[in-house]
Amino acid sequence: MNNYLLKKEDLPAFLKDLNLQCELWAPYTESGIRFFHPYRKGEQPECGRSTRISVKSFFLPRCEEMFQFSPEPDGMNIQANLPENRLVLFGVRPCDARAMRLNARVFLDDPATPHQDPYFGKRRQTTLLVGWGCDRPGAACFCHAVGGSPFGEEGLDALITDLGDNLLLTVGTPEAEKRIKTDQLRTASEEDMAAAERINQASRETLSANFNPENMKIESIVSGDIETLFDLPVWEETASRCLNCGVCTYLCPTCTCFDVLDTGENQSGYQFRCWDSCMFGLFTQHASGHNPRPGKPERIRQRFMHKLRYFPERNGGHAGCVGCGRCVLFCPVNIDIREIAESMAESKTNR
Amino acid sequence: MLNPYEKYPVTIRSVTNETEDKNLKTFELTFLSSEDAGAFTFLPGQFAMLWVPGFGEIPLGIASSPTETNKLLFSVNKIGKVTRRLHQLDPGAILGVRGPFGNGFPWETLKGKHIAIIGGGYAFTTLRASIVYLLDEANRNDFGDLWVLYGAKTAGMLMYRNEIDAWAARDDLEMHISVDRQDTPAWRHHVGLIPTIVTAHLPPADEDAAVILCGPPVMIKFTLQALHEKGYGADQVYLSLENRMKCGIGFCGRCSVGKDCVCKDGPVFSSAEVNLMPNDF
Repeated sequence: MNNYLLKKEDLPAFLKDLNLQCELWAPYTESGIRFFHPYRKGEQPECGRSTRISVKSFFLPRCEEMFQFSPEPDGMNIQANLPENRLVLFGVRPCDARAMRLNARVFLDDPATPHQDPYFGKRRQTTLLVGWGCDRPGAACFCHAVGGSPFGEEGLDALITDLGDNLLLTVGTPEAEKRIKTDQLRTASEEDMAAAERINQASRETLSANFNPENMKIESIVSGDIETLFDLPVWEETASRCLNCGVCTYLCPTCTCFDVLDTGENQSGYQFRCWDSCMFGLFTQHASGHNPRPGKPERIRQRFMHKLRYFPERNGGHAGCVGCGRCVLFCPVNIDIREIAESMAESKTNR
Repeated sequence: MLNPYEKYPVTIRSVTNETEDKNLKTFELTFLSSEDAGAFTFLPGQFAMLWVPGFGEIPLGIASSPTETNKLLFSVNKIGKVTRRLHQLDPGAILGVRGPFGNGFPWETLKGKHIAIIGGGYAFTTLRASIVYLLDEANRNDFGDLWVLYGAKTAGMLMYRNEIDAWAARDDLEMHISVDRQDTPAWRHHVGLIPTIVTAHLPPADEDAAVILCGPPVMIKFTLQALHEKGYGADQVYLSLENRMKCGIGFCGRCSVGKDCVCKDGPVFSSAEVNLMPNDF
């Protein structure tokens, strides 16, 4: 790992250079909403704050063509459309980057299946993630309660810490070392590192002041009795106001469920996949009409049990949540995963 | 990185109507490439994704046995968008197959054991595969006694009719066929629901016995009770679960029950394993 110092005034040139090598995307605000957009020359990207949609869409796009098919004389021509382009994502929040690492556990590293998802895998290989440390955590942020931290480097190739006049650039992977031009940059001094640590510390203190991580004990949920958790009153209570709109799952960086669909006619067309949601009744409905999760209570229970019990159970205790806060901020009826986690963890002590 | 979403192109060789309501057909498929046919190695109890181009992909238990060389069978109930289209297709139509997926029945564990195969209704497909597999000369001596208990609503709803008659005539397995309701005077087998047939005809459990059980949920529920009364432990009974699937390999998220995915951790689970799952079926 190497630490460099970049003058803030040199950032536009730094970005311009990155964009010359391959497609660069960064956060910009448009109509009041911050999204990742292709690099805009002369416009400062807005780093350090959450984008409405996480970088998930770069690895598992909302909709992507998987195959193209057409008839041919002796059969059928089926072409896989695997992604080709190389990307750099600049200004990624550490929680989002960590989410991609968790998603890789599902798509690439699950010991229970011999298969890997090549669409996700290809994008992981060709996308460089340059993070921006979170020095202004939001009121709904709780990365510190689910194993992350505001300046965490997990899942990032490089991380930037805003020191005021200068930026500290921490280069973490050989790929970043290769693709980011650092020869003009001066190596960071001990004072620079100490300044970065102070900013990191202040951010962690803000997070802890906003939300006490002791309220969200994943290990209590994982070791709790499954039937007790399954029958908690919180599912019915939450379902009574949930609209099943699915916004939590679409905005969630670790929600990776998808649908696979065909379109076309006369044996010609596309097979594509798009985001799906456990909030929708059709998600699990059998062709016979039977539905294992027919109502809102069952679907709500599935979402939170998956993130806070089943995922950690299979993945060494890591919650399937990175605390980005999007579901808390954008739920139209104020459902808060932190409160639900608290009810789930309490079920153990109350029993 | 291999692409597990890639399909082997296949063609329909023949279509057989299985039941009197004409809702269940068996499709025999042939791989367009012999290389693909060689790569598709499976065990009874595994499933595959069958793709009808332009309509979609569905998970189906493989109805043929790996001992039937060059034969790939799926018995399909006409019930949804893809299966309705499939039922309209004639021999020669091009489809795609992905797989095999899932664990299949635990054949290594079952070796040396007496095996009872119990099925009801349309769920008999992977059981057919299992019976053909067990009766194959190369495998029969690896297993002990074999019972087959198969029930359908009426005689006309029994699948694989010629084969079950042939099995019933053999002396190296004990076959009990039953209908819920007798609607033909010529019926010579049992009348009654499968749990009753289990109680009346399956020998009490011994430690070298195992049961493979597939059928509709209500039949499973009462058959498990009947098996329990006979002394079969939950770890001796194997069930094959079904859920909606899109990928078949543990990624799309919809077939999960508790921490398990039916596709990648199953579809076959022991009854003891199912008992540990949350009630989310």
